[in-house]
Amino acid sequence: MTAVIAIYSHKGGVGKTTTAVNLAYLAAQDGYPTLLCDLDPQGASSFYFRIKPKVVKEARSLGTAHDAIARSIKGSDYEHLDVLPADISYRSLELAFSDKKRPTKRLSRILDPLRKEYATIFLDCPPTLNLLAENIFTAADRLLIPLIPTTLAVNAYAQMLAFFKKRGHDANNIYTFLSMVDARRKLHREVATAVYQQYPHILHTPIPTLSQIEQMGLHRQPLPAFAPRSPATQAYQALWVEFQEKALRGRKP
Amino acid sequence: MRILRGKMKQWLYRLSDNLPAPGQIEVASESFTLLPETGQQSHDIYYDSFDWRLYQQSLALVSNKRTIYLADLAAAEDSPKAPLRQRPTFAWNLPEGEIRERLTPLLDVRALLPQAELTIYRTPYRVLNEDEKTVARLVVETIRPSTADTLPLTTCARLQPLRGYEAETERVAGWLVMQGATAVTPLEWYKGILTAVGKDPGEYIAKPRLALDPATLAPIALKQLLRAELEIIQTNLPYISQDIDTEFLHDFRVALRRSRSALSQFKDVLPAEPVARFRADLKMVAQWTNDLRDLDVYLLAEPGYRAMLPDFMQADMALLFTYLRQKRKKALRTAVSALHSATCQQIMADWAAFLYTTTPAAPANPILPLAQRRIYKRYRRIIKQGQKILLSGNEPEMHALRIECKKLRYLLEFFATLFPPEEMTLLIGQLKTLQSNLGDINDLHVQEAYLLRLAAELPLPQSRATLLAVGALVAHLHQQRAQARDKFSDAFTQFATPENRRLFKKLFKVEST
Repeated sequence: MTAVIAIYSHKGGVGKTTTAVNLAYLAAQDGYPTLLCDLDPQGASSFYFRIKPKVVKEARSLGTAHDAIARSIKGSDYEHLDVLPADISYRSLELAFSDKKRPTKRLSRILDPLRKEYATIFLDCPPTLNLLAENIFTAADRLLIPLIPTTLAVNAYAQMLAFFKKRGHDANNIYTFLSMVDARRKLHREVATAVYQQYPHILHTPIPTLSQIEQMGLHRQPLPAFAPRSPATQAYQALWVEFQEKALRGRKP
Repeated sequence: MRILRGKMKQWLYRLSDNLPAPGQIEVASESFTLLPETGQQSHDIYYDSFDWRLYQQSLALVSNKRTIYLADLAAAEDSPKAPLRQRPTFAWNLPEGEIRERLTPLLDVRALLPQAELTIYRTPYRVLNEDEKTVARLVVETIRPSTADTLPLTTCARLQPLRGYEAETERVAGWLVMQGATAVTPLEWYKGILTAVGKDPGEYIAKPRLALDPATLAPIALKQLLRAELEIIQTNLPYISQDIDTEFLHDFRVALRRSRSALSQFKDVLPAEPVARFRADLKMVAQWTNDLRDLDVYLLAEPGYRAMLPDFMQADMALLFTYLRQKRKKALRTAVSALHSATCQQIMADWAAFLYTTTPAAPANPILPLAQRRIYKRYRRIIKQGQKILLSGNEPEMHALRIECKKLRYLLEFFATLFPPEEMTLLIGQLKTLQSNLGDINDLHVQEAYLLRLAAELPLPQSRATLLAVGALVAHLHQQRAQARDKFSDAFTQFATPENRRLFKKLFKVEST
């Protein structure tokens, strides 16, 4: 069964894109036909895969939107991994707001035909808590949330959880991990300890702040592709293994 | 794990000489970079049956070290790869799944043979655009026969577009052609490989269809037909001793029977003296293999027999088949030594010499009216006999009718090319239905008799339980035979319809002058 995994946070700069890029790469390496949808209009994940955004004009009605999306998918440099570039996915989403009948189901309807083709679909989401967020919650089978261990971020996380539940979504589908953890900072260490106590469901694998992660922009490649043995790669590998075990058991394609 | 199928179009080229040099290439105003990656060598074996059943459907079964897959050369699509546990031989020992499902009806009881064993060296290249993004993959394959260290048979290139970069790939394809590459279809590619290793995928057809000229004199046409049968006999003979599958012997025997049938149905066309001798000789050769063929049939029927019996008798049944397998081993040795004997070689040599010498010019008729008369006569005889059986339900008469039908079948097949193809296909099809009913009745009768005889051979007392199983089997076969007899009237009636009679009359009745 296909798993649609949204890498989501309503805050920016928490490591969503790097997570989406590296996990999609690892899923493809495991042999799962994988699609990475770049929902962020800034197109960072498209950039990491050297894919140029190119506007496809005809995505104006639902029928042609499917075709336009199918034609806009680009093969990455890696086996089993395709990318839906930012502009086309975002333009399709804009239409969500004109679909008055079921405004929250727009993204699901776009993704449904793609489930036939892919075993895992990653959504690299822009920071938002509006109608687009509702679309993401409805479309995703699992949410993977990067959380920076600072007091403000943890408070905001609690708000986000409350919003999610209030809208009638199943909080069991939310998986959270600590992101950009700097073990040298006392605050990070303290908050991390507190967070694990407060939310026992949080994944045990943290992603540390490492300069290699920043270098992805220079290499324009996923981390395991240019630094296969680095600690950063190992961290993402561990996260992917833990996430699969906890979140995808029984959903394995 | 779900495996996505390669739905992408793949471009295949035969390269004239040199491999593409890595580096910049300029196509129109665009520039791409060819980046070679580490190459690897693999040993690929292409399998098909002796009579090319896969090739006829544009398929090839391909194995390499650990995996096996079915290549659909017309659709340019491969089946999912399956793990290779043993050398593929029969459909029933292929790995379970799509490959077995598709090949079971196609292969039936025929074995797979390695038709081409290749050592392929693959050098992959990435084709990069100006952003250093891969837009296509190019794999250059240098193909040698595994068995001999020779020059490459061929060098070819597969160009695979990446999704969303079809336009760029097409530009690279154009560049390849400019460099002297020739686009080929996967089927052309495979045919080329087979030719290069000395195989001709069209060469063997168990039932040759000779394009006869209606004006050819009868003795000449008859020899043409018999020569085609002789080719089948000679082609299959050397394989019988190798015991690859049951069909070499079967085709060998059918060609012998067709030859004998032609000789007996056209007695007066060829000189009586040598013909009488050859009829006896060919009969003798066929008889040498009777036991072996019978045992083949019983062993092939094993799953069917097992299905007829309750679970508690399965083990006792197994003993019977062990016994039959032992008998078959002996029968194979006996048949092979007879077929390889000096007597057999002499018969074959004389028969070939007779068929390949020109018939001395003697007054003779053209083949067409003769063929028509023989077919029509045989047909009328079948109708008459069949109508009698409809009233009598007499089984020995059914066996006689079966022989008549077989003779008519051979005539229709020998001379099929002299008549309109659609009508011949229709007539042969209807005759087949009747033959299959008569064949069932006869086979069941023979099986019952054989099993009863076998029961007497089984060593007692340790086979008492097996005897019981044989008894149950015979009872079951007996019941089936009664059912088959009940179906005779339907089978005959569909063959003897007024429309069919009119068609036989139209095609084969010659107005006597």
